[in-house]
Amino acid sequence: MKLPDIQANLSLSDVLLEQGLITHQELSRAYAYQEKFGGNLKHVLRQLGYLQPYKLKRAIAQGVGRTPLGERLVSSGVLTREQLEYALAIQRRSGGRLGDILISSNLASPRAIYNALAEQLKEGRVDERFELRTARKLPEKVARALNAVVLDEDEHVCTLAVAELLSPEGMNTVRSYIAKPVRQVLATPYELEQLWKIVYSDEMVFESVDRLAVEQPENSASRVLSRRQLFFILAVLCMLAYAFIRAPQQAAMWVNVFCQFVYVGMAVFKARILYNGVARGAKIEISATELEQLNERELPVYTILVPLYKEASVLPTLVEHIEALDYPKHKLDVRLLLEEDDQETLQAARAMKLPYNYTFVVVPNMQPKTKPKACNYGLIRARGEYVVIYDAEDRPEPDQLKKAVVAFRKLPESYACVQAKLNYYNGSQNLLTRWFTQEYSTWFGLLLPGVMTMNIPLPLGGTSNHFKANVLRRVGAWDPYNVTEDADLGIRLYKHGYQTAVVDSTTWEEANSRFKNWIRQRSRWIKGYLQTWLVHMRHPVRLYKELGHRGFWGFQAVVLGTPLLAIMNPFFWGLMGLWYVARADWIPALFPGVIYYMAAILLILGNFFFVYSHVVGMYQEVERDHRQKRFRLSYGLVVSAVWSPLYWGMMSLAAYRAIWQLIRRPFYWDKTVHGLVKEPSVHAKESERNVIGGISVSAQ
Amino acid sequence: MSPRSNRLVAWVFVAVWAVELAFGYYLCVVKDDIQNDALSRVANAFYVLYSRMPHLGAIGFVWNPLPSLLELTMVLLWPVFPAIVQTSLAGVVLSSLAAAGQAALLLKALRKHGVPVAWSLLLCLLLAAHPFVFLYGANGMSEMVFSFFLVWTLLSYLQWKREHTGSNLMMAGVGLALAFLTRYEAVAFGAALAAAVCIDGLRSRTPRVHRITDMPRRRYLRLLRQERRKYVVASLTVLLLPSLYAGLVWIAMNAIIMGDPLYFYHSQYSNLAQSSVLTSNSVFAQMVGHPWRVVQFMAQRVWLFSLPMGVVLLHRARRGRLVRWDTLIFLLLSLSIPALQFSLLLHGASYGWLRFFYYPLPVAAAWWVYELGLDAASGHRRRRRDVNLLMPVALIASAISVGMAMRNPTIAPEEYDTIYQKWNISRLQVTSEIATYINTRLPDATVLMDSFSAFNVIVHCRYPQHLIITSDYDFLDALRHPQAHHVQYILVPNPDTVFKFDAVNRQYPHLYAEGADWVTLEKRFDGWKLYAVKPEVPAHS
Repeated sequence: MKLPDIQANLSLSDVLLEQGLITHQELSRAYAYQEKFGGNLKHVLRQLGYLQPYKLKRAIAQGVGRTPLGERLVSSGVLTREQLEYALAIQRRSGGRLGDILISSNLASPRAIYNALAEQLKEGRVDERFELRTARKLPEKVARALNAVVLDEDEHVCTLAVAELLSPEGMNTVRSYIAKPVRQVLATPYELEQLWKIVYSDEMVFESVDRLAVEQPENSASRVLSRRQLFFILAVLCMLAYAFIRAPQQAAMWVNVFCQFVYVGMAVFKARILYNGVARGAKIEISATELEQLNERELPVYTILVPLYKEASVLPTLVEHIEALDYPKHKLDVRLLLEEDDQETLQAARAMKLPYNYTFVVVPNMQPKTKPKACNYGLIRARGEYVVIYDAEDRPEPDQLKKAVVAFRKLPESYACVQAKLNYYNGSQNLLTRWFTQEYSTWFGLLLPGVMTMNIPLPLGGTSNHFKANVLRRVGAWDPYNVTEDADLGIRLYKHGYQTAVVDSTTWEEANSRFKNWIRQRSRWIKGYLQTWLVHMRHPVRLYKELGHRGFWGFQAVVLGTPLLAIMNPFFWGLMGLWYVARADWIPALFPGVIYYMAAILLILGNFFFVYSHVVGMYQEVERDHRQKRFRLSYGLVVSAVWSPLYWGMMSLAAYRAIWQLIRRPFYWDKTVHGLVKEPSVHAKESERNVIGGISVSAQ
Repeated sequence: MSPRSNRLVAWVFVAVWAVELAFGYYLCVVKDDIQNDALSRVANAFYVLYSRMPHLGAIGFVWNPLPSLLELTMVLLWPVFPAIVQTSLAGVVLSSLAAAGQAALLLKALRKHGVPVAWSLLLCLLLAAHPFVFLYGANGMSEMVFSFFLVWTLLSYLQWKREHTGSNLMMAGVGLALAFLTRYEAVAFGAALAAAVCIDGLRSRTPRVHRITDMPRRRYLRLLRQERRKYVVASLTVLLLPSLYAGLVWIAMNAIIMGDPLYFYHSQYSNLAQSSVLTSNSVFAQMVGHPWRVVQFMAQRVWLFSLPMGVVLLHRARRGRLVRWDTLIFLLLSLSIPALQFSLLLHGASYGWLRFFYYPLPVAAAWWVYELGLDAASGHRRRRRDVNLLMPVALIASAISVGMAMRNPTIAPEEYDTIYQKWNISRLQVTSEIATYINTRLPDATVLMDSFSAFNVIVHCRYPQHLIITSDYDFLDALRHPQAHHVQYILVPNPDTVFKFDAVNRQYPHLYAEGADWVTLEKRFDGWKLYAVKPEVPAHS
C-alpha cells in the first residue's frame, strides 16, 4: 500500500497518483524536469501547472501526521536503510507503489507490509486466522471491481476486508448495498484470495465453467453437435449412400471432383498466405530502441497465467524463466493455476518459497478438467491490464512482455491479442522434433504472419498469447469445453471484431520427441479444430453474417481445411498406389477431363511447392535466428523439411484418431507431455473444504 | 530501387522486346528464315492441342519441355492465326521476351548496385545489341530463354553471396530448375553453382553455435565446424532441390509414359543417336578421343564470347582480387558449359554449333555487376571510369568478332545459313509443298508420318487431326500394321542423313529406296516419298 506523506517527494507522488490528482505522464514529465533543472518536486509540479493548491491540500489531508511507510518499516526493524533505498531506487525507475516493490523483491512479507500500513492508516487488519462470520456478501461483480469482501457484521457495523482503502466513490457503491456503517480492514492479496474462494466459490465456478455456455450458448462446445447438425450430417450420409448404391462410379467421380476442388482451393489459399507471409511488414517488428524508450513507470500490471498439472519437476525452471523476464517485478501478477487434486505439484510449489507476487490459484476439482477452465479460473481475479498464458515448460524470451506492450501501443485499438512466436529448444533431438520445429518455424515465421495480413479469423497458438484483459473478459474468455480453446478463442475474438498480430519474440518450448505422444497431441489439436468448426457452424448463415465473406471463407479454409486435407490425403495416396499396382480402369474414370490435369498439377507442382516453401521458410528462420545472434536453431533442420510428406502422413494418422475421439469422447483432454490424462464426465460438486496454500479455512 | 529506376527497367524491357519481335517477324515471316529447332519446339506444343489425340504428353520427351509449354498459350491462336505456328512466331515471341527479360534483369541489378544510369544502360544495351544475342532473341530458339534463366540464376546467387538471404538462394534455385527445363546444359552450370555454394558456405561466417558458458574451446570449434557443414548442406538443398525434383519428375515421366527412364537420353530421337551420324563427318570424327583437337576446335569459337570474361579477370587482378576464391568460382561458372561441350565433342556427341559456346558471355556480364558492387563497397571510386570503359569495349570487340565469325560457314554454319539462306530454306519449302499436296489432293486421307522429320508438314496441314503422328497412342501399332489401322498414306524421308532415325525408316529401312509390295508410290518430292498404302484384302475373300 502507498504511503501518504508530504515530507518525502516520493510519497507525495504516491498520494497524488493514488488520488488521481495527477497522471503518470505528468509525473514523468515532472521528474524529467526535476532531473534537468533540480528543485523540489512539489514546486516543479506547481511550476508545470500540474498541481493546483486544492490538489495539494487534498494530498496533505491524506497524509498529515503520518510517518512514511518505509520509515516505519525501517524503524520497526523489518527493513534496513539500504533495503529501503534500494526499493526507492526501483520506484524512481519503474514507478509503482513502495509496498508492492518491497513484496515483489522479497524484502518484506506482505503481512509485515500490511501490518505497517494498517498502523499507518489507523485501520484494522484481517486477523491471522480469520473466520467468516456472516452470510452477507456483495454481488461478485461489485466485489471484484472494489476488491473487497464482507468479512463480518454485527448490528452496528459491517466489516469489509479490502486490499486497499476504498475511494469515496467505492464507499458510495458499498453503501448502496450495505445500509450500516462500514469498517475497512486491510487484507493481503493472498488473504483476499482465500476469502474470495470461500465467499464466491460458486460464482467463480460459474465464471470459469458455465458462463460462456449460459451467456453465449452458440459459442460453447459443451455440446458437440446440435440436433440440426446431426440431422444434416445424417441426411448427407444417406444421400451419399443412396448415390453410391444407384450409380457408384458416378457418385465416386463427383465426390472426387469435389475433393479436387477443395484441394485446389486450399492450395491457392496456402500459396496466397505464403506470398503474404514473405512480404515485409507481416510481422510486428519492435526495435531495441523502441524497447529502450519504453518508460517503465508507465508500464501496466501484467498478469501471467501458468496452468500446471502434475508438473512439479518443471517448477524451478519455470520460475527461473519468469524471473528472467525484463519487466518490473512489482508489476507482474504471476498466477500459477494448480489443480486441487494435484497434491504433488501443490506441495512442490509450496515448498519452493516463491516470491510474494506469485499467487497460487487452486482450481477446484470438478469437471471439465481442462486447461481453459483453469485459465478462466485464474483470470477472474487477475490484476493485469494485459494477460499472457505460458505453459509450465515455456521459456519466453526476456523482452517478450515489453515487446507485447509496445506492440499493443503501436497497433490500432481493434487488436486485442498479440501472439508471440513459438519454437522448440530441443529441435535437433530427433527426426520428429526436427519436423515439429520446422513446422512451427514456418507456421509462426511465415504462414501466421501471412494469415494476419489477410484479416481472417485465425486460431491462436496454445501459449504465449498476450491479451487485453478487459477484452478477453468481454468476449467470454476461454471455452472450458473446447480442447483447442486457443483456436476457438481466435475465432470468437474475430466475431467480436478484434484482431490479432504476431510479435517477433519467441517462446521456446519442449518439442514432443516421442511418436505416440506426438500423435496424441496432434489428434487433440485436430479434434479441437473439428470441434471449433462444429461449434461455429451451428448456424452457417448467421456465422456468414458475423464474419463477413472473407472471414467466413478464411474460417472454412483454416479451421475445416486443415483437418479435412489430413483426412482426405490417405484416400488419394491409396488411389495412386492402387493405380500403379492394379491399373484398375475405374481410377482414371474418376478424373474426367480438366480434373485430371488439375489433379496432376497439384500432385507434381503443388506438393513440391509446399515442401520447398517449408525448406526455404526453415532456412530463413534459421538465418534470422543466427542474424539475431541467438543460435537456437541449427541449419541441420532445413534438410528434414524435405521429408515433410512423411510428416503429413503422420498428421493423417492423428486426424483419424481425432475423428474417432470426437465421436467417442469429445471433451477428453489428452495431456501430452507427461502422458497424463484428465478425464471429465459431468459436473460434480466437490469437497466442501477448500485447501489454499496450506491454510485450512472452513467454508461458510 | 526508386520508381524512376523501375520505370526505366520497364521501358528497356519493352523497347528490347519490340525491336527483337520486329526483327523476328522480319526473319520468320518476311524472309521465311525459320530455324528448324525453333519450329520443332512450336510444333511440339501444336501436337498437344491440335493433333489427332490431343494430350499434354504429346509435347515430347526428348527436348526439355519448358519452351514448348510456354508456347502453348500462343499456339492456341492457331485456328485464327496459323502463322503463329507455321512460321514459328510463337517461338519468336518467347525468345524476344527472354532477350528483353535478360536486358531488364541486368539493368535492374546494375541500378541496384548504384551504377549510374548512363553506364547501366550502355552495358545492358550493348549486350542486347550483340549480334549473337540479337539474332537468338529474334529467331525463336531456346538459347535465349536458357540464357535468361542463367542470368536470373547467377544474379540471384550473387545477391545471396552479398546478403546471405535465403530468398535470393531460393530464386537461384528456381531459376536453375527453369534453366534445366529449358536446356540440358543447366546440369553443368548447376554443378558449378553447387560447387560455388559449397565454397561460399564453408568459408561463411554466418552459421554459428550458441557458446554456453564454460564450454571447452575444442568442443565449441567442433560444433562450429559441424554447423558450417550443415549450413552448406542446407544451402545446397535450397539451391538444388527444385532442379533435382524437376530432373526426377522428368525421369519419372520418361519412365511412365515412354517406358524408359532415360528415354530422353538414349532413344532414337535423342541427341546421342542424332550425333552418331557425326562419325561420318571427318571434322568431328577426328576429334573423338583427341583432347588437343577439341581444344583447338573450341578455341576458335569460345574466344569470341570470352573477351568480357578476360575483362573480369583483368579487373580482379588490378583490384588485387585475383588470387581469391571468388576468382575460382567465376571460372567454374564461366567454363562449366564449355567444359560439358568439351566432353561431348571428345566423345563425338555434339554438333559443336556456335551457340553452344556463347554462355561465358552472359555469365561474365552478370558477374560484372557483382564486381562493380564490390568496388562500390570498397570505395574504389576514383578509377571507376576506366574500369567502366573496359567492359563496353570488350562487349563491342566481342560483337564485332562474332559478327564476322557468323559469315564463316565453318565456324558458324547455322548463322551463316540464316544470313545467306543457303540450305534450310529449300528444305522447308519441300516440306511445305508436301503439306500443300496433302491439303489439296488428300484433305481427308489418313497419312502416317514421324513428327521427328515431318514437323513442318504437320504444322502446314489444314487437318492435322487426320494425321497419325508420333505422339499418338496408336502410332507404333499403326506403323507396324498400316493396313490394319486403315493408314492410307505413309510419308518417308530419304534416310541418308539423321532421317535414318525417322520411325518409318527404322521400321522399313528400304521403303524409301525400294518401296514395298503393300504400297504404291503416290508422289515423289525432293528427299521425300509419299506412298499410298494398299487396302488390306479381307481374309475371307
